[in-house]
Amino acid sequence: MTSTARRGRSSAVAAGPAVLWFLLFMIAPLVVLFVVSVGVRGPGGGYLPGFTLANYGELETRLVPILNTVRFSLIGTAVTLVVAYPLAYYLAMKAGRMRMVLLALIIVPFWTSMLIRTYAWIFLLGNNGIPEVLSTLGLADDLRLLNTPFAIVIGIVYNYLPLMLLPIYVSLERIDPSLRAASKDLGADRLATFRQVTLPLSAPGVLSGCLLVFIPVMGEYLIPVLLGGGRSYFLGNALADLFLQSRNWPLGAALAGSFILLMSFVVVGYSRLTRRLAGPLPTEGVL
Amino acid sequence: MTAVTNDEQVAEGFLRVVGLSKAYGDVRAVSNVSFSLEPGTFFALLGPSGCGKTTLLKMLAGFESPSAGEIHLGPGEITDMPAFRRPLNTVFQHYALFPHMDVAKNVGYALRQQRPRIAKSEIESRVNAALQLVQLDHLPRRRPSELSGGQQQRVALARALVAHPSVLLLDEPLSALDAKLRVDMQAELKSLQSRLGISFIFVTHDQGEALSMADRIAVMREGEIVQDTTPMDLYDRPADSWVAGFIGTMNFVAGTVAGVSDDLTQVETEAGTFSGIATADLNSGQDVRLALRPERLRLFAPDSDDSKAAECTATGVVEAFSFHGDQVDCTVRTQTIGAVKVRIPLAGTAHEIDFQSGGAVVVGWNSRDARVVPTWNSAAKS
Repeated sequence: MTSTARRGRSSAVAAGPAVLWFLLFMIAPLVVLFVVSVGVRGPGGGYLPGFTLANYGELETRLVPILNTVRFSLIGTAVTLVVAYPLAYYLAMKAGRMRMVLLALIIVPFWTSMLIRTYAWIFLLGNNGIPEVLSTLGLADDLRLLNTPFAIVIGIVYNYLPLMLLPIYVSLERIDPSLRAASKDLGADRLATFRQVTLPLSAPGVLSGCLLVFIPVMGEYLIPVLLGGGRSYFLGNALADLFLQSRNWPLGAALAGSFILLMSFVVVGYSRLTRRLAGPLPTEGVL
Repeated sequence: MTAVTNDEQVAEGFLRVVGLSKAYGDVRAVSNVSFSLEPGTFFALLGPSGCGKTTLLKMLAGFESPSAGEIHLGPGEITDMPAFRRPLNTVFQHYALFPHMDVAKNVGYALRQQRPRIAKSEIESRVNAALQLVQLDHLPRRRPSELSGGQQQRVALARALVAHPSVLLLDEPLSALDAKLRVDMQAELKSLQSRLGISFIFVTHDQGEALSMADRIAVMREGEIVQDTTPMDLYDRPADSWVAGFIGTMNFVAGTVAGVSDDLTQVETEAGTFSGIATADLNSGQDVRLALRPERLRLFAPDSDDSKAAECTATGVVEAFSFHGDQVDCTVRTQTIGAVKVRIPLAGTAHEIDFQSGGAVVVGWNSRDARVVPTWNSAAKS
């Protein structure tokens, strides 16, 4: 009894700094955000204390950036998945000794700033880049790539590829090769084996990858500005405008708060889904 | 084994392997292996790790393609047939159960792959029958992770048997089980095999397992089959000194062939000339070993008249001694033939013998109990 009690007390002491950290950097900002979101906009912008839900009612005026963001995040995540899965499959199953080199080649570019990498795509997609090459080759004339939705998707896929690739790679790499051998032994050809064994066992990795890409893309700010030319307005851009340009803090806070709430539903849904799947969860302890 | 020339007349489950080889670069994992198997044979591939037995099994299953040779099953050749078309199934060393499927889904896997599709109700009843075969029909909804090692083993068996393979391949299936469970599973596997009447090819490095279960044992060494015979014959007449030492316990006395009279071969050793039954064709002057099983030796007290009944004797002192209830194992340091391991039943004359360390004893045996085996050493071969 006494020893359990003592252990309980000492573990509470050990957890102290973590709890403090959590309160200070997780809970407190959320409280501030909520307080601001029910306040009113000051005459010159900013925030005045108050209590009104009007800001939440006003959210529907921001429906376009919200839908834009959700749409691009879904499309971007899907395209990233389609690009990353075969790559991860190749790395995990076929690359052999080249595996580490190839993984490094994929990851190393991401040590440079995202801003610089995205600027590089401005040049590539701009009139002197890929469209110029294509028209010289006589394949396409007057092709416009920069400042289109296509450019935004390219930007998303390029910038978030490792976040999708690595969890899928890990879950594929962990699949015991004898499971695939057993499947073939029992009469399944390569495609049937992939469909019934490899794909379901890599599902946790796919889910983690999708979540790891979807969440930051929802908060994306740079890509729509640089590659979309500001035509496709994202939530991140809307928030920046509300806080920095029109200085409507309460509305901005309401928008950001709703956004956080929405994302927590996504995360809860994710953890429900992964719990139903067998096999290792590469993001266990991360999310 | 009759030589088969015409594939047409061959029974369904008759397996014939001809000159099968597998080389990885310069390394020959399996070289020129041939054997044929009547349907319903429990066939053990026995050898130390790295002897090529697992590679041989993988070629039979279709996971490795042979560098040379042929595999025939029943009336057809399957050498180049992909694994998923072969009517052979495998029980994997660590079972390889699908972790995302329950027991029934695992067992029904092979049936769900078949085209034209098998009706759901038939799959269900065949899965149930297979689970009954291994006494697991009460757990169809469990996931593999919720099963004990022995239960997983049974699921793996049921899964491999559900599609009625003509030959079942087993890759050290008992190695992951604890000792007691292993003994139980040995008996169960054996009875399962005789009930089903199909051939089991059982890869193992455990000679006790092979001896107790198999109808036939092929001993493999460095990619080749050294000896392919019944367990009793293998134990009694090992083909060379390596096999003799690998199967059971054996005492060796080095020497050369001095001559042959009737069915006995004389061996000249440093301790004099001994006789024994040769297990292979030997030439005069060839390097051989006189091989003596511990249980074929007898122990006598030094002053006992009984020792005169033995054709050969060696006097010595007890060096080590261990008691096993019904029998006694002891090591005797002899003056003439070195240290000798002796196993004697306690029922006999054991009470007359001084087993204390340092006690004087006489080891005796008859020539017909000794074997003369050719000396094998790997350096000389390569």
